[in-house]
Amino acid sequence: MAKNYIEDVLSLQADQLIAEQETQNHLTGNETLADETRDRQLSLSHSPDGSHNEELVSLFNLAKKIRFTLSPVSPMGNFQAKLKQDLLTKARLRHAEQEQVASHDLLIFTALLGFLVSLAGLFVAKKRWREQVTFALF
Amino acid sequence: MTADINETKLIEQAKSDPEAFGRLYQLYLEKVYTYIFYRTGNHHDAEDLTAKVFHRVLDHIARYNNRGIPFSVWLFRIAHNLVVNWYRDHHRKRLVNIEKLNLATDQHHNPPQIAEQTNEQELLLAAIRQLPLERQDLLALKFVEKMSNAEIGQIMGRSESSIKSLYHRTLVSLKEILAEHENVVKN
Repeated sequence: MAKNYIEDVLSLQADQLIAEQETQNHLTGNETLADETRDRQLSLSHSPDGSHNEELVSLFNLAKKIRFTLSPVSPMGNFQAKLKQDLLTKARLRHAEQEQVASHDLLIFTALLGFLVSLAGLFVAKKRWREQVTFALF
Repeated sequence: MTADINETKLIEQAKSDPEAFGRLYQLYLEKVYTYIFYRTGNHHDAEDLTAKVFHRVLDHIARYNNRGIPFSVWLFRIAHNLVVNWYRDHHRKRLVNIEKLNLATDQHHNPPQIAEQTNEQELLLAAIRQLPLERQDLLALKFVEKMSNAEIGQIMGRSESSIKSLYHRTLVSLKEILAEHENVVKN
């Protein structure tokens, strides 16, 4: 049996196992789905030339056992709560700092804008004064 | 699809809203914890590394942009890197700590059959933990996190076809380890 074919079939079976688990999480006692998966795996274990592959079947069974063994693990309740509290405190602190920085930036921007406006005012006043002086001379 | 849109919204909100970050944390906590637990083999280090992952996520989430990399892949890349660093820094040996592993069986039903099943699971977990780290990682991402080969490839920095090939080699190695153990028991 070609190596690529075996790799493809094993990956396909793993995807089926995961999909089956996901569905079983939603529909318990779905015998039809279990039969369907079994049939699909049986057909996968036949190579394109029609021969049945014992090696592939044993790898299928091993994959099933792995899926069953590696079940989700829940962290302890007090750890969950403490970590959440730590993260929220850090996030709130950072949020407050960011708001402070933003208001500080706004203050600097406003001051800079005020300075530029007054500078422009001085420039315009000086220009008008020069124009008046020139007009008075002639 | 709607779930994806809601999650995308939540991620955007979490960048500036601490409460939204809290909801994102609830959504991913068990997934991250399970992944790290199977990689380290004990609750103490799993808690320590899970906390580091979420603190790092909080530090960098403002810079996260979904440019072809889903949030889960970005998150698990952080977890993967921290686990790799943990192994490197602590020069950890792959110790099997079976008694601490939380197995998926209900001990109250059919005790003899369950005991046999648990024993088989313990053996399998022990065998998994004898695999090279990269292969353990692949099994955890595939069967615990239910990720596709493409997503695993993004996390591990490999192509999709190389993940397929690695998965095949992983199953073969695992079978060999289990067969070796069976031979030892028989002799």
